[in-house]
Amino acid sequence: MWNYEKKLQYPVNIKNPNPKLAKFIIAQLGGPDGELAASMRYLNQRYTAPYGEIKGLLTDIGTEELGHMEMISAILYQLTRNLTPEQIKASGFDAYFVDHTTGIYPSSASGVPFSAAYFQSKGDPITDLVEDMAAEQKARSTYDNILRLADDPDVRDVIKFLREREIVHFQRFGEGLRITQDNLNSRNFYACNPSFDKNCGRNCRRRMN
Amino acid sequence: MDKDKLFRTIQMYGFAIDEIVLYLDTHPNCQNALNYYHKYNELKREAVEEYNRLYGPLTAKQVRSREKWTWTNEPWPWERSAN
Repeated sequence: MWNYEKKLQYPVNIKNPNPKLAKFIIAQLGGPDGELAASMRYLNQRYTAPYGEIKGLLTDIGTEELGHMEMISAILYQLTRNLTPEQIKASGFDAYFVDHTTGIYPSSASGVPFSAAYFQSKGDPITDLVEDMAAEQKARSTYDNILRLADDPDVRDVIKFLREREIVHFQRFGEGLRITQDNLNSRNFYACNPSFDKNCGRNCRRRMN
Repeated sequence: MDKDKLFRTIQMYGFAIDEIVLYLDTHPNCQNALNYYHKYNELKREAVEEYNRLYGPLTAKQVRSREKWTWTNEPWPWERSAN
């Protein structure tokens, strides 16, 4: 189970409301490469992961992503506070406002609601870990794009923190892939699936601890 | 320590632990990383203990008051004033 700590992983304190920024930062809440998709990807994949190191990584990174979802939501909440109808119309936030007022709803920048179709849980650790590494890079690219468009230093500071976490997670998943391959037949990593086939990699298993 | 400074200290210790936990997941035999984990876990535990005593709970299991349910006190983490 999970326990909630009443604090953000990294502080979010945005002085100036700006719904224009919220319109595209919402991509990292409910978009295809967003934090909700990241968390659901890892937390669903972990059940059939074959080795303790991979189960730990997917659990711990999937949990951190929930914290990142909370940070993105805090950015959106603070960017859309105290708005007048005139500001809502002028910023182009009107379409979102009609659907959700200023409630935080997971959708992409173009307004498509969150979908589980954004991620896969394939039940094969090489397949899943390669997807996870790609997902971290896609999120990093999205944060790069947000940094190209966002001029508010209070927002940029948080986005830079989140961007760095994608790079760290990519590194850790790369190590997870290496650990997985070390447990398999080095002449053919694809000879069998250690999450499904009995005795897969049994003669090659690296010593744990 | 004043409330804001202690809160920020806990946040920093928390992040140091988040980071070393991921590292240890793929480097379970790294003694330096394990020492770092224990050092910051203890520092965070002491800081949270002080925060609970002076300012209130950070989890729903850390309420000290026998008179009032303080878990739901403002501010919540997404408010500017909590950061």
